[in-house]
Amino acid sequence: MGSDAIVVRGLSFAYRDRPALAGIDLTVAPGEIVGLIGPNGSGKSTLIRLVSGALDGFDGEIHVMGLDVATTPQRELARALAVVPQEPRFGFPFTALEIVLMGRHPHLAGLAFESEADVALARDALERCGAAGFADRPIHELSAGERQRVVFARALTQQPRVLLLDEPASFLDIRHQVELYDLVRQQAHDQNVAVLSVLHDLNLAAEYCDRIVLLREGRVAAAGPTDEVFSYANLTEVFETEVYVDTNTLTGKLLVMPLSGRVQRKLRED
Amino acid sequence: MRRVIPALALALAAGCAPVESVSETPPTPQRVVVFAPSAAEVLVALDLGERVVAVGSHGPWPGELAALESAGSFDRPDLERIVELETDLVINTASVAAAGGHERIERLGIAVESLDTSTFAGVFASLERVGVLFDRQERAAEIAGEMRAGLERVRVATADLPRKSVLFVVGRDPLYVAGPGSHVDELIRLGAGMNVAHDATSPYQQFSVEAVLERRPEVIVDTSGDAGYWDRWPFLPAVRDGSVYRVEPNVLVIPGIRLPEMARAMTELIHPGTFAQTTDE
Amino acid sequence: MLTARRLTLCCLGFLVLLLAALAVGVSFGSGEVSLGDLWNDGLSERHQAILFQIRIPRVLVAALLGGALSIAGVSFQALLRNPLADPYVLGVSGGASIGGVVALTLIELPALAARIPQPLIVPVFAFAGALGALVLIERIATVGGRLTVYTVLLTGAIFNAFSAAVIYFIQSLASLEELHAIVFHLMGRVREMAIGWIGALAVAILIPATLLVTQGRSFNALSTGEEGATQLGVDTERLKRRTFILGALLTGIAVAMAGLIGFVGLVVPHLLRLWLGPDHRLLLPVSFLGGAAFLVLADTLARVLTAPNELPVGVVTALVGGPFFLLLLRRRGASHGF
Repeated sequence: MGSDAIVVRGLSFAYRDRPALAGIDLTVAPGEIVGLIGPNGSGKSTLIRLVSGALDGFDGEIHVMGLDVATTPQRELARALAVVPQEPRFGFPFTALEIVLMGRHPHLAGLAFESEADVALARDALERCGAAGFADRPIHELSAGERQRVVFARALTQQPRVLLLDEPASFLDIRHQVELYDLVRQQAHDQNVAVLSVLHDLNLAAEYCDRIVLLREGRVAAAGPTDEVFSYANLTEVFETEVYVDTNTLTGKLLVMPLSGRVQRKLRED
Repeated sequence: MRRVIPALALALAAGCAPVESVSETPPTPQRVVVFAPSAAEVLVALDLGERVVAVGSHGPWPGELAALESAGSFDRPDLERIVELETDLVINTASVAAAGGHERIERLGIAVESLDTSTFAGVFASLERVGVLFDRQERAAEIAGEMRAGLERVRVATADLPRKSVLFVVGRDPLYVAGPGSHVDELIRLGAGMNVAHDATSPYQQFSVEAVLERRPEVIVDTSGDAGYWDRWPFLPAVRDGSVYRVEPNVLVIPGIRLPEMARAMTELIHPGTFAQTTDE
Repeated sequence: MLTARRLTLCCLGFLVLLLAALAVGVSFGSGEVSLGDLWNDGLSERHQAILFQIRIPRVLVAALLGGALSIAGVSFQALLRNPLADPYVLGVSGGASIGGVVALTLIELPALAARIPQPLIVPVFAFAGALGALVLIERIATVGGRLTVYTVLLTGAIFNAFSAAVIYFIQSLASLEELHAIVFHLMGRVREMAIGWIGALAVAILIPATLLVTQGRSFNALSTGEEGATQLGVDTERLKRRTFILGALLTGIAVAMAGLIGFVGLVVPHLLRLWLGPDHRLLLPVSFLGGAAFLVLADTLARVLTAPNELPVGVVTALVGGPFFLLLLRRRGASHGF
């Protein structure tokens, strides 16, 4: 237990009067990829934001690499943890490389400039994310998918022990989705980074996640190894829709297909 | 930095000729609202002071008029008050007429008269006009005659005096001076002075302090604050000779029928003792 | 990409530009005396006064105020993540204007004149007004211990409108003399000051400006949003509060000394961002130097264009800054919305 990278105990949180999360328990071990799955509004993004230290005023406890998120200075936290947000924002036209170099911010003292090693790190991250080609282009001129890769490169450049991903693949085409999650897996398995990721694509989750936490209305509906959690019963209950679950004959992992309204009606008639 | 009059300046400088009013009221106006202090002076001189029922919010107002109620400011007249007071004539400065500020009053059927008193000629024209409006042409002409005579006496007294360079300060933060086109400039010339700001581009103009030092005025008349400000430059002839004068703004700055007195006062500042001598002789 | 070397070179370049602007400012004026006369032993008393009591002090004051407005502009733009913010958006200028206008109506009070030297009455009141506005806006915009940027912006806008109303109210009660003193006070101008006071002004401006310059990298992170900056390790609350207070102090000082001089805090940062990129580590110092040079040159134009008449410097900054700004926006800005 003490060795877990993320430890969440009895976490509850409300936006003003609107409860968002209640009694969440969760751990992520180093080298592990845990998927956060659940319908819209189930509190996935809120959980990511809370663990990242961006929201305060929660009940319960959150520890990241042994640091108490409620009391640790943000700078120290940012050296242990990096976030890839759902919709990154950019106020001024920085270049992709400049954005990636911002990942060094928590590691740099006061007025220090990025060293050559820092720049090399950033360029390497851009390379690995397939973004080296637009390193010097202003971020505003890039497509949503390209920006997402830049922001992922920034997270790598931050050299975190914990990666929090909030639906990072939503704007990516299938090739870049796979490339990005391969990188995530590489970080987890080779660098022993703990990953907590929100995913909408259940098949990606089935392929890459070691464990799944199913959220529903701010509570944990089910948690455990991916194969156990992704049952027909769990998914239909949590998402309140019919799904088709099968096994991918190529990988042996689960294959989940949502069913259209027409198919669902037909099933009911049968 | 002190309160200043460029005030008037702006109000008085804008228009050139009196704007004719359309009204052709046979009986003379009985209830008058006046927004221009200089016009108020003319009314008082024509013994029409009692007909003024309200004044503008920005004075100063001569004599008993100061106690009257306000009917708004010259640029934002209080229409309800004006109607309430059964006003039959509003007198304002020409600059407001130029900005179209009078239409709203005229639409209420109340006559508006715009007077431009920013120059000697304007003062005489205004006097004559008020005489016509109130059917006091004779008295107005009489006063005009006295004024002309008074000014002529000053002219004669100063005719052979050497010209001295004069700076007339209206405001000091930033420096504002009286330039050509102002009645002050005419007063300076009449008083055997040369306006240091002879090339100012407007009657009351923001002006370079450097140019003042460069031109070394022999007399400085400052209406803007403590005249001690100029002491920091002892090489200025005016400072060296003790010819820096602090004058209350309304002594010289608000033009009107007191022009001859003003001309005498200005002359006494530029050439002290001029009139003491002439009366002695 | 910004390196320490590029930063140093750019700062040196802009320092040279500022020195050149100062030299131009000292060289031109109504008085027939120029920069070269500084080394002239036989200079007349009059020309010494023009150089040392008028022209040089005024040029220095213009440089300090231009720098202050410009760096306050960059900081507020970073804080609001909006390149169109200017130093006056946050309402502090409204407070300074009220203070100055109140001072103009009270300036004759003997009790006041006995306590404060007359030339300082208006600046002291204006600065007090700016501080009052700062505290008030900060209090209102702090919700649950956090400074909400949108509330700051909204409070600032409302406070400015409120200040305008208060000033109209005071104007309507003022005498004609006071009225015009008020109008001239609100219209921006650069005044000469005694050298000792310029020293004090320099300290009052350079300390907050330096503190802002050190926030460059945090401002960069803040451009990714408050949450993004927090996740990059920025103490966002402290950064926002510090920026608001320091920027408001600089704006308050500038308005207290010179009234409202428009365009400096908007145009200079904007042009430099288009030219040199958005990195605040560079933008902050370079805007200070560039803003200083800009206001020195604008004030020189105000003194020289119609000499010996003077134009209000705000007229020059708007006349020069406005069209240039539009031209640049059209040529460069359309492509990426900045």
